[in-house]
Amino acid sequence: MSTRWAVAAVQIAGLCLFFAGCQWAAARLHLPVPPGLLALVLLLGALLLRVLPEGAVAEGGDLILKVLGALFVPPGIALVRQFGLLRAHGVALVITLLTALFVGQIIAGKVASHWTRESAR
Amino acid sequence: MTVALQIAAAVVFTAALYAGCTWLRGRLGLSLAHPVLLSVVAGCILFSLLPPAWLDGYIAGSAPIRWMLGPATAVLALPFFRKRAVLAGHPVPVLAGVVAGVVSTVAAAWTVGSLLGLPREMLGSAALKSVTLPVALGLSELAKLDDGMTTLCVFVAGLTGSAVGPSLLTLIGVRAPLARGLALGTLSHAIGTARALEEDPLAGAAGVVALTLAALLMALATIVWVAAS
Repeated sequence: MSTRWAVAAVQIAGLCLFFAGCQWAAARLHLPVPPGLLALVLLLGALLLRVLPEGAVAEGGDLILKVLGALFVPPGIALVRQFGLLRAHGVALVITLLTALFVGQIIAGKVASHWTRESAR
Repeated sequence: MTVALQIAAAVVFTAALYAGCTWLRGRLGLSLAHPVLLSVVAGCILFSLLPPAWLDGYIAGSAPIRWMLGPATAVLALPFFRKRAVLAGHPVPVLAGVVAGVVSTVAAAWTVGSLLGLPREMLGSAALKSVTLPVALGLSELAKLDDGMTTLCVFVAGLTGSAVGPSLLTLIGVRAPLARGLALGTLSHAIGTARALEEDPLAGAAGVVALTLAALLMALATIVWVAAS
């Protein structure tokens, strides 16, 4: 058990270093890409091309995914600063979100359903 | 307060709040009572009652938590890598469903929001509502939107989509697990994917692939939009 935690800790440290490298590269090369997204694309590429075995990041990665929810709390609480804007436009925002959500779900579902049937023929 | 103490206080407060809300969710047994949503609501109520300096201190102290969203975004590669067989096995339905879902929902958000007079920062956050939160927050920062507003929009899309989406899809005759998973993952990200997984393993796997592809597509669109404006 303690070995698993140690492996996870080392892998998380490695992932943090990897992300810091992506932050540095994005800033240095003036890339118009969020560093997290750059790290996602590079890590996915490394896994797909077998440059990096899944086991090299699996323990640490799964642990981060397990506590992912807690990382969203501070940006969520920052919403307090926008209460005035919400008071003025809250109803319009909810109508916009729900309309866009249902339109998207219907179209994605119908298009995927159509092409699933076509592919099966 | 020294910076180290400020960081320690923010980390302990966040961890305690999240753990408490996770426990409360278990006690309530309600799927809509997502621990992140409960934590955000409780935190917002608390900080709206305290002097503004407390909120400033908390936001400054939670910078390392916010930084960890970067490595967390990177490890989203893992679930996609594990479920990549869905994309390899059904490339056309997956790509067509995700692209159609992303384009239609952004167009609908922009059209309806503009007609209702939403300000620019709210329109941008509404357009990002279907992107998985770690990526949405990165894009929110890139487009100079408000993180709190983007978080709220992402939660509305996730919780409403996973609660109403399955019935809506049944109502319009979408019954294939692959198509249902794609619709739920594209529009309601991880929360919708968890709901799809309850229906069928293929729907859950399709949801994972869809949420990653939708995030990448939205990222591309946001980068182009920011560069053009």
